[in-house]
Amino acid sequence: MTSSRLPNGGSEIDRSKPLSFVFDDVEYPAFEGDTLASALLANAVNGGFRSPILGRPRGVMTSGTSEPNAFVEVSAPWFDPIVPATMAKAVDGLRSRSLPGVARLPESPPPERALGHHHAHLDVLVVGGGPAGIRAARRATEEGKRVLLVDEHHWAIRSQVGDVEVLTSAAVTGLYDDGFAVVHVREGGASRLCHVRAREIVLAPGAHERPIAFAGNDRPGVMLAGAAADYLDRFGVRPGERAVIFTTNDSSRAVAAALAAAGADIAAVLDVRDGAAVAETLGEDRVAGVRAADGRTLECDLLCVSGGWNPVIQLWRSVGGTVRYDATLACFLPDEGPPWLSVVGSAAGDGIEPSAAFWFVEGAEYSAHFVDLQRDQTVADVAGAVQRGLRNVEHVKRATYIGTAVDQGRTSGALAAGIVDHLLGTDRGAQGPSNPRPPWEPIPFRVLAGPYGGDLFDPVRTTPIHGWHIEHRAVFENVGQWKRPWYFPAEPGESLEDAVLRECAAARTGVAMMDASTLGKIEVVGADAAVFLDRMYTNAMSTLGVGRIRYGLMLGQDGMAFDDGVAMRLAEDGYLVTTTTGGAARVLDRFEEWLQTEWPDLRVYCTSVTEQWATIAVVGPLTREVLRAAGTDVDISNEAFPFMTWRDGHVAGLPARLARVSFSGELAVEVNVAGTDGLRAWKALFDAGASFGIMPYGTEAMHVLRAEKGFVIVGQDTDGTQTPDDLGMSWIVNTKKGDFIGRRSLHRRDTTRADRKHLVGLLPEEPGSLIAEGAQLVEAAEADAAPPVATIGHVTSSYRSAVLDRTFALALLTGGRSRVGETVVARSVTHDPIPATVTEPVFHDPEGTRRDG
Amino acid sequence: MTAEHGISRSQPAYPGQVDLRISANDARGRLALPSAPNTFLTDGERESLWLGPDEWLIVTAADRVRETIGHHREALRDTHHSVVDVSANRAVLDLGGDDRLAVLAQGCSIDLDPRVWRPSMCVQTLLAGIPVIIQERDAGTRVFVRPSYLSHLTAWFERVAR
Amino acid sequence: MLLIPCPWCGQRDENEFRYGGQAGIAYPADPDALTDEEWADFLFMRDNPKGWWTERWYHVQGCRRWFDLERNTATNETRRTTPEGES
Repeated sequence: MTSSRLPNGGSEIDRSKPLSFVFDDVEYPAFEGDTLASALLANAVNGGFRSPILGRPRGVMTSGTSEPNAFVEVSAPWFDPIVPATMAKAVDGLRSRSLPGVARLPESPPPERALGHHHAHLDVLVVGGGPAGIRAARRATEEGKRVLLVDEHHWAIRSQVGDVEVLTSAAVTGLYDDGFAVVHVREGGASRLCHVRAREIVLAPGAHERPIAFAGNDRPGVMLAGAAADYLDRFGVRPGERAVIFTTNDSSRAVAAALAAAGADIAAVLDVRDGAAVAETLGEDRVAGVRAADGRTLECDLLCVSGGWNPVIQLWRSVGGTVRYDATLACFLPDEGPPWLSVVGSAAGDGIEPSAAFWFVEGAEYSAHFVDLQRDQTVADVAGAVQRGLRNVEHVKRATYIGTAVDQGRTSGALAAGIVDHLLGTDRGAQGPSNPRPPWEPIPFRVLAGPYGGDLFDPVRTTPIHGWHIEHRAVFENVGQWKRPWYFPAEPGESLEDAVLRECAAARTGVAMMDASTLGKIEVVGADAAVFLDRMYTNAMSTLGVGRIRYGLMLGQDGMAFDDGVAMRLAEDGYLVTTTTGGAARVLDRFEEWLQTEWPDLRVYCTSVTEQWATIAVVGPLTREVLRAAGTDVDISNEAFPFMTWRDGHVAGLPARLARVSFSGELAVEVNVAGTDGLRAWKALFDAGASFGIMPYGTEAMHVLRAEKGFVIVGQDTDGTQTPDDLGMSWIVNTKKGDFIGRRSLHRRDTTRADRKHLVGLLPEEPGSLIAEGAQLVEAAEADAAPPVATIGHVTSSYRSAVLDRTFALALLTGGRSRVGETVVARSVTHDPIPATVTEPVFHDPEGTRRDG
Repeated sequence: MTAEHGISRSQPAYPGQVDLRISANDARGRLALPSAPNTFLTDGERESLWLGPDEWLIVTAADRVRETIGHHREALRDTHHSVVDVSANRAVLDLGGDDRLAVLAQGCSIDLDPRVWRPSMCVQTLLAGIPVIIQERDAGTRVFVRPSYLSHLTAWFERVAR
Repeated sequence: MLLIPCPWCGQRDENEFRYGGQAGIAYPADPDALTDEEWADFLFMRDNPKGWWTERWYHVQGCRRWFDLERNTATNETRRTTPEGES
């Protein structure tokens, strides 16, 4: 094996620190500071990669993030699914294998790395550690500003930057409004994500050299000219013995000189401005020579290409920065942008050599003139897209996928735009490169997730009684962010169906208890509290006496059911209102919105007390026995404490507010205690109920119990398109008390149609048949008709009932109230058609005789 | 106290807390309340945290809630106001150690750099994706959190403070 | 992630706020005086300009105040107006 490492030079490498790494099962030596690409080139390995679609041999073409060929998977000492060899720092013991531009999922999950997130606030963020970026960062630091310089390479720039804070191997993956940048920082095997908010962002990302499309321009040994210079200067590596230079501009002169100084032969400099060009490369798995446009054959093992330089404008454009075409430089330059963003250095065009506008070499055919190497797309593919009628680079991008690979069009974007313009005969620069979108640099999902994987993915809320539920085998369901007990298996393995029948039977015939702490609770206080609540609810709350409770329904301005709950009148000027579990925040927000923006004259203050109170519903004919056994100083007789009233007192020695409300139709008392007393109160009531056979029950039994009574759950039986009348709840709309939210909408033509969907009950003809929730309702005659079948409604709730000893359902049915007694058919993809009789939506105790015990 | 790298974290506690709503004009001359947004005042017995232009959180000893409610109601008699016991509505975690702000900055978009974030400041914001109040006291940093989110926040601290 | 200037709390990340749509849509003094079409206009129809307009934001994770904000819908530049109720 020959070495291409020069005896001297290499600004990034430390020759006193040798190391070794493995690439495709072969061990190679390298120095501290090498990239995998520079180390491979130093070992005279240029090749070994394959293109993803055509399987063509490929080699290292660049020295940085624009690399479209040389991708590796790193498996040790950490795992990286895909990284360009030009960006992977060589470390001792590193194991890697070549990838055809596409990553593979590991067979076993990679070991966890530290994946922190971090927020940073800056005066100035400088992106790019070249001379212009360093100058900008130093100047801002001297002015006493909080400055951070980030650079995507691991190159040692710290020595040049003085007091400036620097992050290397730090890539800006996205730039967003108002100076927000997401920076992916790689530190050895660890990655972290930095959310930067900066008053000012200075972009100094430099320029990327543009390739030229010609036959066989993807053969290993073809390298961007600037990359060849990088390998010489930064790594002391001579990437070839005998080079041809193919260029459109003067920047390659220095490359030729540097190669010559390093001992390489320069076979020829072919400059398109002199009419010269490379027609095609020669060789098998790597370049052995080129055929020039004039017919000459030139032997070489390195072809350095420069089609000019593209300022790196993608981040600039991603936040609305505009660009303009510069005909002299043959590239796009930043033009107008947001006030907090500026561009310096070659990204702004500084120091870029004038170039001929030259995109591809004319040939007999173009199927090996590569434009996007990682997508294996050629000039022929671009021409095909244009021929099919696509005249916009955005459309060509979608037809060819050019610019969508890991390098995000760094080498292909401007080239493709130039070729499209050429093929259409439009002006050069008529179309810019396609729009860039984040991520500008690839970023693993697990870095984006950071610490918020697994249990922390979405915050979980639990009640003060949660630990007890776990100890008692509760199976939980998610209600918003809350974990609520769904049901409590009596012994391991008891099914949902059996547990719910058992829990419901206990509530109807004995006693049961539920943790209702998740209900939203708001204290509404002030001289105008009653007036205010009259405007928020469909019914009157002003007529409610102190000590009493009233159920209330709220509508959207469109007249549709929004949320429901009860209001307790605590004092002349004070109420406590409850909301659904999921509606707590939106109800309080709505209260504040109307108070602040429409009625600032109303003297009302609202305070969330959702977690101030733990709420325990004790339900069933034996409720009073359990409360007495637990000990209470409240007279809980029906006479002293009637339905829909509340009393303050104690339960089990704890200060408590008792409320006679029932969501099941049974005698029930809600015991409200301070959240910090919630667990003690629950245990005391459970212990007191033991001799009465008390059972804890979950949300499923709660749903069944309320459905047997025909009580709707906003969000289950409603979907934002139901008026009170649709739900059979006209009784709760008080049209005499004055205006309230949604009132006007209740007499729109559309909300008074006779053929709206009404809430009805359904009893399957076969009492054991359970209809699937969500099943569509069709006319009986269409029970087995082939689709398309007109649907006349759908099922919103469906259960087995212990007390009815059969199944039943709630449904929204077109004109449903006039169809009671008729038969409809529930159809779903999972069940056979189920015929059912339409009924009133109240199945149990329609007279309400059971609520007083 | 559990101690991680450069940060100590207390067990959750429930001091006395009272939510006070009153217009700043009506409160003037009756109560000493901080008027600057996102600051708090302390008088030895009580801390008053600015939560909004007409809302403050009064924090006192757990056994002085009743007295604090009475004190405020008395001071604000005949004005439009609201005084609500919220002692169980939020738990507090007290953080100590030199790295405590750096740890918080891993999950909070407020500028917690000591050059900007100083004692006497408090903010309502998001930490680890959940609503919190962060208060910079002389003794350290206090985080108020809804008790329902305690397990989430505790797990987050354990994960990020490794 | 926009930076929203709350009139009370200063610049905060957008995810502390709830968006409130077009500002200045007053609740009709007498909804019954409106035809169905006029009422539907009030309920559902909003401007959608390119450029500057005034919209409402609610600092839900902060001081819980509603306020108006001018924003350029083409560039996302924002500028403060006066706090709600003080205009």
